[in-house]
Amino acid sequence: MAQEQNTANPKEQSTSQAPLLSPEVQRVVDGLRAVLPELEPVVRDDGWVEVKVPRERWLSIAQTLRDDERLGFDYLSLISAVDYKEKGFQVVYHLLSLMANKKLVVKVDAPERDNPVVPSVVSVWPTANFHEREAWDLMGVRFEGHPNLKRILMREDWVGHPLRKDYVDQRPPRERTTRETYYQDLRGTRER
Amino acid sequence: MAETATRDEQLAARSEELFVNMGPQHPSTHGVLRVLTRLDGEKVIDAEADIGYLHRCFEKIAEKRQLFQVIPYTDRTDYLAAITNELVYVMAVEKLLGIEIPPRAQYIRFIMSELQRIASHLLWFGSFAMDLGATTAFLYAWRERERLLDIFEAVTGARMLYNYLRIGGVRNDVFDGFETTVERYLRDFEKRLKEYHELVTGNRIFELRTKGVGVVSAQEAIAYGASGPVLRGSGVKYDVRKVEPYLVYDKYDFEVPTGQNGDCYDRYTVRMKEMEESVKLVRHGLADMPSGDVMGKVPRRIKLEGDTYARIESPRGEVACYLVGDGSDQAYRLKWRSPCFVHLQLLGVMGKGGLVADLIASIGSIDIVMGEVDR
Amino acid sequence: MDIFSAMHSGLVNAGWPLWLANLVPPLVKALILLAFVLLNCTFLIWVERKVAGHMQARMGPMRLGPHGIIQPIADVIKLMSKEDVIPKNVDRWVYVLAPIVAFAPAFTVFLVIPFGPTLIGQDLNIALVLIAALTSFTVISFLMAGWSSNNKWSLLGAMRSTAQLISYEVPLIISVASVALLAGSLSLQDIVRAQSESFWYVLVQPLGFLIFLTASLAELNRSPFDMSEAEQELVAGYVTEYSGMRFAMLYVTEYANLITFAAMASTLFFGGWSGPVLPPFVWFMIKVYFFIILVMWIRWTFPRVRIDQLMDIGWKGLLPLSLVNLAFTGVYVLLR
Repeated sequence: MAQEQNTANPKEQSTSQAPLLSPEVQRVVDGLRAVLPELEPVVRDDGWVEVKVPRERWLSIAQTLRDDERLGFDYLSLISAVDYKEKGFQVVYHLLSLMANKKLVVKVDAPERDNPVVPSVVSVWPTANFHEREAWDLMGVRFEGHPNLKRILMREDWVGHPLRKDYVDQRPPRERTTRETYYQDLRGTRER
Repeated sequence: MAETATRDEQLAARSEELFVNMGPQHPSTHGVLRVLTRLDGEKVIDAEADIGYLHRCFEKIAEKRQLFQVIPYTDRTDYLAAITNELVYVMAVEKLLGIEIPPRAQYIRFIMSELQRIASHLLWFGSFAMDLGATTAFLYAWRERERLLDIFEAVTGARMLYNYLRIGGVRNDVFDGFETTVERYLRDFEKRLKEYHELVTGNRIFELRTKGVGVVSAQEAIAYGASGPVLRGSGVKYDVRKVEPYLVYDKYDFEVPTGQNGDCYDRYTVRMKEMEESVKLVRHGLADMPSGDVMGKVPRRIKLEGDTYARIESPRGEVACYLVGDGSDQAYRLKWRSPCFVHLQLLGVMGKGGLVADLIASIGSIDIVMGEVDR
Repeated sequence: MDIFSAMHSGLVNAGWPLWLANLVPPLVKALILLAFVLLNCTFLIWVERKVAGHMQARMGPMRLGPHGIIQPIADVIKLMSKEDVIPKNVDRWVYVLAPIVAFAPAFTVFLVIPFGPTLIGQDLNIALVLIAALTSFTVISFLMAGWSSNNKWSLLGAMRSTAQLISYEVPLIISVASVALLAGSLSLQDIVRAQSESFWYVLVQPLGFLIFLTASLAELNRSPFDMSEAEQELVAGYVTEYSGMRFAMLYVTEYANLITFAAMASTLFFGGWSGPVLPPFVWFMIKVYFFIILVMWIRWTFPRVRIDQLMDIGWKGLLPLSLVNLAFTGVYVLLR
């Protein structure tokens, strides 16, 4: 049973009826409401505020998230790509405002399975460089605008994106070398 | 019309860029790391890390194992600070399942984490000094670390890769006499720490090799996602243990050492001071450790729903785990945030304009463990 | 030296042709010195490992013989029994000659070092000049080894070593010249006699001694100035392509140079063989081993100096200091 993409933690609180939000969370919610009202922040009960961002607007929203003083998310902690099978892919960004101790989770959907594309945020947070390369390498999510989108963990000549749920290892079966085949190789008489 | 080449073009034509490959096997890089450097004579123009030589498909494996079976794999990511890695994974699962940990288990985890921090920093200290040529410091650090590993072995059964933490607590209680053994170790360790400072810290040659070398400004550190001693060495006073306290860190007051310039010397000082702070924290933990169970109540049928992000402060920086559940009893997606993976992006920043020897000192000051970088 | 003249007259009386009899005493002296150097170098292999071990809170070799004393013999046998490999692309003659060019001068220096009031190979009155000339051969051997290896990185390492050696020779020789000024002679035996009659020169030349020590460490390519040989450097150093007996020769040369430095330090600044009660040769050996252990102590304590900082120290630090030292010494001698 695949996790529904559009729900956050089922133990979420809707912002209107939450009695007690910690001051940092409140500041995040207020800042988002003020600067980016079209996004609907969802407060989770582990202290993170979650928003879903449409990918067409993601780059400009990212710049706003970093530059606007009411938001000020200057630190990108992690970029994760999740494979939701039929629903496509989702790229999850965990953002922090370091000294103000504010936390934000941004989820960007890329619903197509064969060539998911998401704008790259390397120009906003330079740390995204390696994270996005890894997401491309292992999940196959392409990041538009990345200066150097090549494989980082797998070999350069690898085919396929291993962390996908439907990944099948396409390498040809390895020929086993035993002592007999070693000497056959030397003599040139190996049967294949 | 004949055009004379501009001065830049003339310079570019004269100086040949030398492309040098360091590693992946190399005595000074810590693990299988390949650094591609572009040199102009002796000066480094750019340095780029090529990783993936130790990739062991940890995240894919975690999707196919029972939750408790993933714990040994987490050990093997950052194998020099294994307890902290187990801790972040176990914390993520406990958050999702809403499991309460008994206080004694919390204290045991707390003390083991801080002892692990001391062990990891000791090893870093030894290898950093050895990279710079002071071989003796390496062996002294190892001597202290051996005693710590003996303590770990007595508690968990293993010296380096423990498989000790469990979802809901720890596997077994500490041995009788744990408090006295650790206290004796801490007393000796404080004396030895002074020796290390005499041997290495005040040494003029050491300062020559590390001051002003591998400078990372605070803005660069934040922009590049640095954490831990790398971030604090650049002057940003941020420690996950203070900001998002886990275990019992909110009960105790401890200092967060920071540097000013962001050079190798500052990162060195930050780690040395962190060792002292860890000693204090362990003493607090030993004094206040309650009695009771070491394993909490874990539901019979485990259903992982939703997603969560757990962060801790490991000796290398902020280790985090993004765990997604799909209602089954296995993780749907486990994403590991490794601080060294992120720090390797700083190689270009640190190495630019210095010599190759400085690049080696900078790589050493990041405290890289390739198991964590490649997973 | 009576033994040698007795030997000489004995041979002549026995009917040997004169030219042959003239050759025998120097040959015997050379063989004795060679034996001395080789025995000490072998012993030093063990000393280095033991000193390193004990300073690092461990014990060093313990298995072969009591406290590992037979270890160097095992090392020598191992090196001698290796196949003599000459890599295909090396410049053959330069490759073969480099270890010889390294060792021969290192050993020849011992000819003029006074082991006792009459125990000296040859009391030359230009001994210091000869020593300065002979110790410069290390530069040539480094370049030969690096060049012949036909390996870009060995050559780079060799050139770095050469730059280091040449830069540190100047302050070295100037500080030695100050001592010669004080003693009024270039002969080592005279310098020792002058010290045995007055006081050890380290007391009047403390700066000179420190410059001599630092510059010698750089000349010996030892820590903290061994950047060109460090494993952590990209360059594997000039010895990469050598193995077996040739490597053994280069290795022995390094220790022979170390003994030379120790002998020079004790001769020039600490009174050589002079000292009360004990026989002069024993004093000499005590002082030599004191300096050897001092050098090893320094090696295992300090981190390495970076190559550009090394050059800075040599040219901007040691050279002016040594010139100042020479000037003050000159004034002192003039006024004496």
